[in-house]
Amino acid sequence: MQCLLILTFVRVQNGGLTITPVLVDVKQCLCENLFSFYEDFKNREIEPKVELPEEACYAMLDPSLLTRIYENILKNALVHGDLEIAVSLVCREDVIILNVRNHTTEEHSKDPAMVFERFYQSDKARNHQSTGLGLCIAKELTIRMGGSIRAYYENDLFGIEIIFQQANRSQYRNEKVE
Amino acid sequence: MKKILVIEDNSEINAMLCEMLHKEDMEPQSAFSGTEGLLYMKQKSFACILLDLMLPGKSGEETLLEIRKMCKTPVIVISAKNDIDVRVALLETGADDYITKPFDLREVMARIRLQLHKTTPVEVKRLTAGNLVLDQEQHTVMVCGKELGLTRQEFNILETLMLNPKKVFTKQELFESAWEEYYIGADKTINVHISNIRSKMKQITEEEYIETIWGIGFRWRA
Repeated sequence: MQCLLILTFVRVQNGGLTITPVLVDVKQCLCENLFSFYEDFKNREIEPKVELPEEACYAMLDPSLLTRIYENILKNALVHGDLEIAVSLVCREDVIILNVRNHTTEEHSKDPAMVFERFYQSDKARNHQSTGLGLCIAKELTIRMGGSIRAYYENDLFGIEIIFQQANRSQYRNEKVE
Repeated sequence: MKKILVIEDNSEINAMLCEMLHKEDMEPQSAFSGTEGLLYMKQKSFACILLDLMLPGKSGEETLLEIRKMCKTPVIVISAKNDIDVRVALLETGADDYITKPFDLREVMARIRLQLHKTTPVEVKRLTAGNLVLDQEQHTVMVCGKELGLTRQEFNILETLMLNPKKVFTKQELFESAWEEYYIGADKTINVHISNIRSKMKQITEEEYIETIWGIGFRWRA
């Protein structure tokens, strides 16, 4: 897993990553990714608070890279979060806003600007099985696909917010949606 | 009696195949287009499907893909297309056998028997969980010996959940399993189906069989 992450990282950095945007239901993709971590949430005895829009929300993105972003962010929340993890997706005007928040008392989270730095790790002893690349890759992939990403910390909650442009409605009305 | 679906637009060939099946003590159902065939499939289950490729409207290839989304019923393609690439592609996308036209009726019958023979012993027809028995052939669900009276969509949803007892399904995945046409706003439809199933069950038992996960998905409560 670690090797794979580093390889992805190198590919992203070199620009050797092909992005094939298609019309993706960002909400459905999020649901599937959340459930792929079902056992992990159960093991940590955390039930995520999930808020989703009723309707599908579409964006022109590469589905495999979007999955990668979700995976890295959710994994980060599971590794560093305690007590509470909240995931919300909101469609507002022409944007889709994703927020993943986790309660944490770890010192490093209080400096959110640093978390996107490569190999930035919360504990020098590497107790967690992470490379410190997950969020860095999530950031690169988000930006490559035209989105924006930021980290924040308030009231013991560490959060990642990602914003993507919604695909305009006329664009997806005429296309067959997979 | 084994039900066999014959999807063939040429009425003479269709009638000939059906007559042969009758003689062999099978119950043929003729369909003259892919859409018609799929419609019958939603109403009853077949032991085997004969499928022509050059059909009006939805092609045989498209029909095959849709059949495969629904079930694993053996499909024998019967077609004048003798191209090796076509044959290989079809076998790889889910056809169980391929017969080229013109065909000999005895060969068709032998190949149907072969498919029936293959499926009969391994076919799972009943799923059981606690006091609940789902009969995949009769399309009925009994709880504590009483029939639930589910609609086709409700039955499909329950069957999907039972067949994958560990998987957490998103609403959209269940929606697709119910074989409904895609439309935006599927979540509401699934919520309605699930609550209908639950209220039908509640009339018979207090036991909960379907678990809601995080408010966004469902899972079979094993």
